[in-house]
Amino acid sequence: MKKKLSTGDVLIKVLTPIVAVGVALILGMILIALLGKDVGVAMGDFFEGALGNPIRIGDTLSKVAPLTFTALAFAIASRCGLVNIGAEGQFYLGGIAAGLVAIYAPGLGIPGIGGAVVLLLAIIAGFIAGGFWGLIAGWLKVSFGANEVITTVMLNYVATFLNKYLIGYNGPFYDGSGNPQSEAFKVSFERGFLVDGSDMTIAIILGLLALVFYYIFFFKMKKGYEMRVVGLNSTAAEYAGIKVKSNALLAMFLAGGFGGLAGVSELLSAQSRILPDFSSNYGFDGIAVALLGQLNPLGMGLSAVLFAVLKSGGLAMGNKGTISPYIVNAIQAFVIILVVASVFIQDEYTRRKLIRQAKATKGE
Amino acid sequence: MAPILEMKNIVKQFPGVLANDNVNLTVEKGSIHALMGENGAGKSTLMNILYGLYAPSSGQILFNGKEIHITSPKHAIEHGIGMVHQHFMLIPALSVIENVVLGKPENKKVLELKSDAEAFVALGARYNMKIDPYALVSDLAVGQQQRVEILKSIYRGAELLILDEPTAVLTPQEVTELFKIMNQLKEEGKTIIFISHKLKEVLTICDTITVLRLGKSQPSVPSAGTTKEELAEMMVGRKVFLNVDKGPYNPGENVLRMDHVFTKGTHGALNDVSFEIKKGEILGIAGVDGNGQDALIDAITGLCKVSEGKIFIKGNDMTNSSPRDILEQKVSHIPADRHKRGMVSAMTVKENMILISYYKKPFSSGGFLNWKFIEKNAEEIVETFRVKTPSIEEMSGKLSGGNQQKVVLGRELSRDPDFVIAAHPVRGLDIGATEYVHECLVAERDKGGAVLLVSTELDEVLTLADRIAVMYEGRIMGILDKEDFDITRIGMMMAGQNQ
Repeated sequence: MKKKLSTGDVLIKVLTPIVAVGVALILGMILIALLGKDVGVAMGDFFEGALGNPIRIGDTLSKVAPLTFTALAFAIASRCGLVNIGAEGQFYLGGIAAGLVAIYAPGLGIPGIGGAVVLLLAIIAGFIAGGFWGLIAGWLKVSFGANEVITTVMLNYVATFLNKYLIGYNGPFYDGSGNPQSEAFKVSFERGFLVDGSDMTIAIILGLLALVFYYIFFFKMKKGYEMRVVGLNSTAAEYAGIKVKSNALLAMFLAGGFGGLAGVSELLSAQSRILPDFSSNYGFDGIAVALLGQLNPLGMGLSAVLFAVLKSGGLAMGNKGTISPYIVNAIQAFVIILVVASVFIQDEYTRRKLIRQAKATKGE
Repeated sequence: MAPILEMKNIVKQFPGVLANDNVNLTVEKGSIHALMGENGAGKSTLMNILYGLYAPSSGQILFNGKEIHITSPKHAIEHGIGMVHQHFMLIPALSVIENVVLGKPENKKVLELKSDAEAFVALGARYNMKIDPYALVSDLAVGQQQRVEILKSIYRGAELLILDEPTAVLTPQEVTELFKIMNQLKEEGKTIIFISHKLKEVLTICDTITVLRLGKSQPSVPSAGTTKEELAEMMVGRKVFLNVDKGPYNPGENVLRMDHVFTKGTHGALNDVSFEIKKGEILGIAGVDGNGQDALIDAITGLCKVSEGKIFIKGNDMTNSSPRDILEQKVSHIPADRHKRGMVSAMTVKENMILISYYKKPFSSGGFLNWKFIEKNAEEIVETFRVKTPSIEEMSGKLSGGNQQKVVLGRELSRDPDFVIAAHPVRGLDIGATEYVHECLVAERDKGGAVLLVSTELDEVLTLADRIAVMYEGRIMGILDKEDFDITRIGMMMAGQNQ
């Protein structure tokens, strides 16, 4: 990764995401002003809610882990040339699997199954369940050529409704309380990690480790190299004797697995039981986090923090009642649109630069 | 005779590069004038200026003694300048005559195709060309399409005809036909600018030769009395050895044996292909592009399924084995399309160097890549094969075509192969790089390796090969030993005839 970049390259890489987020916030403020609300108050609520005191900061940071995992779900597939829009569904599958382990495993009375072991089992179950969900799309792709964009989106619906069924009134895991929900988890991540009284848990460390794994896998390991070759030029991969299909399957399993871990980290950190819509859009936010971070591990880590701030600040604005929570959603949508646009702007910049260089060297 | 065209001190500045640097070109009326030069020497730029596609940064164009400013191809056609591009500018879904009248200023609201068609057929007859004006262009063979392009320019009143690499897609017989037409046009007083990098053709057909090198024009020379070696030196700027020194032909045991191989597919599928390649020999595959060469290579390397027949490599039955198992037999493959197959443009030079061997020790162990060794190995290949790159960290897509090919060549030959498959190994390369690639292939042969050389450049096959197999529509028309190399016979076989 010791690539020589020109100052222009670096500048554009760093500046575009910052500008994108800045413009989105300005658009958000304009929107708030158009509604006749006080922009100053709203912004005050936003920053107070996200970063107002150590506990608030801790709460905000607690969202970093699920965002990092869903970003990885997008990024891993992307490195293999696949577009995984299914992190939302993988999130649900992972969350359900981990939640069920956290509810039922302690009661099995198996000796040695204590809190930490149950959590470990929950993490593994969540990874496998999410991975399985990703693998379905991968299998449809390599066996029938089904476009993974479409299948992953469809599987998102299947996953959310599957969850609603499982904990619904007639579902197998309904707790009988009169509300569609499961029983409470008997084991979960301990809150107050690093910051007493906050929602932060050790999940944020898991997120960091996942980023490190991502880096090592793709840039230090031969399997990751193979996957990148497939992603960048599948014809060259075939020529080199690399199996394109099995790489696609593995990529979708890993991507789904990390999507699943997002569900695990959210459910076992911030929630106490499985509820109908427990994701609050993490799967889709992850795409924006990955794009804003340009699939780079450090970049994705930083943009996960930024999105965590946006999410919890927005939530705070909504909770104060000064503006409707739907406006908060709109602001987040601005961010995503502008982030995606900024990626295109960068691609265009690089493309033009390459054309200039090609013309310059060929002179034809 | 007076010059029909004078281009004086033409300068074309692109951002960062001077494509034409005070180029002078004087073309006599009624002559065939060659414009030669390596890739990037500025030939296309100069002709695009003449044809109105680029505006020159400075300079003067005199046509028939009068200064003209050409602003568009339409404008060029009005002046009587026609151009046949290397990639034909015909619309495949339209008929011949519809293509011919396309953009003609005299066209009325309702096209008068019938009268145009009659006139066009009559014009074709003058040059012994039979043309069905209502045939769809997509149904015509490449050679026929080219003739339509030439006739179209004449029909539209071209006095000066630019032919950009017209022989690249033709069989030797079609080249002879083309040269006949060119000579007839010349006799009728038309002028032709012939762009080519094939030394022999230029010396055969042209009267005068202008060489461009690095954007500058060299003084024109008459083709009479000029040798190939002199021309090559003018193009490259140093002495070039056109003939490759080969050791004695000493074939050993079989390395590859194809036994009645068939593949499925509609276009260019293999049809009962049998031949052998022995240690220490280069077998050349001659043939017009698209006659099964791709299927042949894909079948040998495991990239397409063999439906019938057997392929043995070093005595082992490798029919329908996986590409990796075949590569493991010490097979190296320099693919036809380096961008699509041979390398990953968006990866660095060092990452491309391990494309085939990354999974093996010492490139990796225990699942991890051994970057230290990979970097050392890449540096060595870059040095041995003289790859010009700022560093091994450079994106390989940013290298020039010749250096990209050296990356592929270096990677493949440094794997110590027993059998090298080289498909169009010098396509798009300049003379200097071509010379080097050829030396490398011959060195493999002299070391006792077997080489399968697929090329559409007959000269290349004739120079390098010890035996030549000619392919036509997926079949091997025949295999010739060195003493039977005869261009007429090979040409007939390339066209599907076998006497």
